[in-house]
Amino acid sequence: MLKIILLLKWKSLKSQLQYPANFLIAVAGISVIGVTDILLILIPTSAFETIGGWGFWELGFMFSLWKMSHGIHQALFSSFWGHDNLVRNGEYDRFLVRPAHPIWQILTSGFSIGAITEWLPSVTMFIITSSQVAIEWNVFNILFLLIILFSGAVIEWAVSLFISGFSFWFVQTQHLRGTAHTFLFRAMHYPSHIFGRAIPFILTFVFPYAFMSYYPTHYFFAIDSRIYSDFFPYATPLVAIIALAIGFAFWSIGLRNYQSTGT
Amino acid sequence: MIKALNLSKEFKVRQPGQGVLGKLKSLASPEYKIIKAVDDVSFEIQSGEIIGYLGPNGAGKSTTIKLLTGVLEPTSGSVKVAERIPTRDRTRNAYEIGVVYGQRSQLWWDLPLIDSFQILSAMYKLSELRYEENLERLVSLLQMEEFIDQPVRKLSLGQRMRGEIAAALLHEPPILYLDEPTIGVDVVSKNRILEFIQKLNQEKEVTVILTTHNLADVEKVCPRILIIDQGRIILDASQEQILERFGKKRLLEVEFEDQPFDLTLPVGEIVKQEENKLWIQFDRDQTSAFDLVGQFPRGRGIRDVSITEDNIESVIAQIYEHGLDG
Amino acid sequence: MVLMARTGLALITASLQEKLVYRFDLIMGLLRALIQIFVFHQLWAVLFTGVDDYAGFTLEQTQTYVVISMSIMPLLDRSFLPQVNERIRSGNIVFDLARPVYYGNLLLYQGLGQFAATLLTTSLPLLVFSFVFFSIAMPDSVFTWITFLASFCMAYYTAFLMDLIASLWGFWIASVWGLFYAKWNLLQILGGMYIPLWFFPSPFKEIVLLLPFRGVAFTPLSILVGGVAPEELPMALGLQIFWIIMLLWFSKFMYARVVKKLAVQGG
Repeated sequence: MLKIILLLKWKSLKSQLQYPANFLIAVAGISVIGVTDILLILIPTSAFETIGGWGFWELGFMFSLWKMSHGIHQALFSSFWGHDNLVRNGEYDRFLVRPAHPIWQILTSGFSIGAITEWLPSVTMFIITSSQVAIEWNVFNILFLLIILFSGAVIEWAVSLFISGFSFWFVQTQHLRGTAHTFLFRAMHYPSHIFGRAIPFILTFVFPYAFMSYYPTHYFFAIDSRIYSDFFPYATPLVAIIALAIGFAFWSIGLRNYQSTGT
Repeated sequence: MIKALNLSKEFKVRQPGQGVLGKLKSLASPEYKIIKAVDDVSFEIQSGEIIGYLGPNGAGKSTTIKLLTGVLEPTSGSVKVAERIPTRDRTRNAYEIGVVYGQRSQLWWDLPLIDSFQILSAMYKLSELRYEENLERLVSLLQMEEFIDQPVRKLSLGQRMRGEIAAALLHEPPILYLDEPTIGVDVVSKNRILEFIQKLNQEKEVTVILTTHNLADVEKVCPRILIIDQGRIILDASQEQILERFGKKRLLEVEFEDQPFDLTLPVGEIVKQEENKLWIQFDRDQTSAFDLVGQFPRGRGIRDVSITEDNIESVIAQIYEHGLDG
Repeated sequence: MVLMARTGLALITASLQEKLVYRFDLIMGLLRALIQIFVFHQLWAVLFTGVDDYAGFTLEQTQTYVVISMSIMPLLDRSFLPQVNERIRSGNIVFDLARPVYYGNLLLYQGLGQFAATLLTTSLPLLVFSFVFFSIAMPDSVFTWITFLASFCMAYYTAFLMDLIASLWGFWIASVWGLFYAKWNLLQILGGMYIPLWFFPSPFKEIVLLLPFRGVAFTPLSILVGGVAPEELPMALGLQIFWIIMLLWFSKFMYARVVKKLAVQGG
């Protein structure tokens, strides 16, 4: 199945490159966003030194972890963003008459330009910031980093899959997705512990995005977690598995409802 | 091959309120209406048949197809396709069937047509050899050589539909469902598609279920016809049987030398009169055209006579309009 | 005039009804905006801990700025412009261009309908909520209110012209999606929607202050929270006017090119 996904991504990339000007403008446009993102960290820290005890480099490192994970998500899992339309346009009528599982078919249904645009800014950010913070790199660290990055992408996807489940009942779920995205795109620049009680709770237990970068950063800096458990800096892979199981289960219930009611 | 027994599918539809007040009210206490899209339907389709599945809009055609393909679960009753229950054995069933929806595409919109075939070949786990063979055969039969390297979004509707059919048949399914495959397709492509379906059926013994609004298509390729109306099968018969039972009306058109006259006929009915022409409808069981002409008063010069027979298209149009008794 | 008013009213009610159809979506949208307000409100509270002011700006001013910004910025987010791109791709744009009204104005009227609907369903509820739950300080001088409103009208028009120009690019670029996305993000950062420009480090700040983006958010908002001294006011407003003239000229120039291109190619 992985073969099909890679085949499709490769072919899509090839077809996008048929219009190189268009493609390059889109890549440049989204890379610009990569720059504005870092400004959300740079400007407050240039005025106030630290946010919640962390300086620019620490925050930049944390954000680059998130952004690389997000890049993996965009490359592999982002076709679920348009799940509303898949249901509304009756695409499931075609997914369900093919031998592959619908989830595989959705993963192979499209190609987002974000698959490439996140990589340049995030990896650059990671290389620069990780040289400015005190981290001793060893084989174990690097292995853990790779696991964290992939697990983070799975966490983002798990939430997306969970939200997708709602579109089997409701026509429009964009703003529900948008609510999750507000946490994803606006709260990940800053350490969760500055936000009082409600937001860290949501980022840990509802949309567990804090496990993409906030908690793992504690591991790399070898510091204790300020909120909840000291185990959380190691918990990302486990959270990814649990979140995916929940997301998948809910989506499956939605699909069963679709098959019996044909919404 | 395909067995449907007392098959029913009900939908709960929320009744939208009227106006702002009604809308608010329906938000608080929604009212539901149960619609029986498919209502106690039974039929059996043998291997190698081509079935025309007909009915007016909203009669339950698409719902039946979705039940047969395993997309929807029946509310009650059962479906068996090649001895399997499609919803329970979805993956295995998928290898047995090919589905074409005329209204939507199963191809990858931005990629060249050939890429869609490659991806599907991987999805159905075809061997390299089998894929090459099948593709070559389909490309030449459906004459897709000149556009197979084009992105799907650039294809004409007729070209795309040929691509859709090839995509549905790449894994050589013994059953093919076609849902409105010729809608909006130009005449040349349409004939090519219909000829292809017949050939496929004759050579590979593929069972075909064709739903369409185009009755001429059905007349051409479907020996057996099922008509559904308001969720119920109202007719299941061969073309000959249908003509035999309903196609009894004939229309006699007579052109006289001069102005017509008052005429009373024991059988038949004058349906139209215009200058020196007369149209008489009659039942072929009751009388013949020859007898009718014989009843005209002598001395009236007849310039021309012609007879129109019912065909399957007009018969079915009548059934749609008046039901079985009309 | 009467006709125009009636058309306007019809457009407003149409947009309003459209919003009310998807109530679930509307409520989730409000929730989303509230989260955003809360995140940035909290961010500044944390940053100002133990600090009285930054370059003369207080926590209360900054929080008022971001809360008002996030309540009224949805007014500038026009969802119809991607549709313009869709009409270009489908070729239906020729019908729009053939109408007796300048296409830009047609879009502006549509946009105003959306503006009114968003104001009633999104911005006003957000403002009411913010007044109740957050500490924000409103100006008491009538002059400040008047200059704010004037500046905000210009902000609206500036944002509109930017969108118009971006969508006109659609005649040359097959997909302007990336352009829109980049533009909206530039507005959010360089326009000062999230972070007031007074926190920007020099000389970055001085450059950003000359760009058109500040006219969309920073100028009206900083006037409202008393961040613009009376002697700086002519400069701030003058720059807004200057950029409107430039953008207007550029959009008309592009429009003429589009019409010419369509005439040559026949769509």
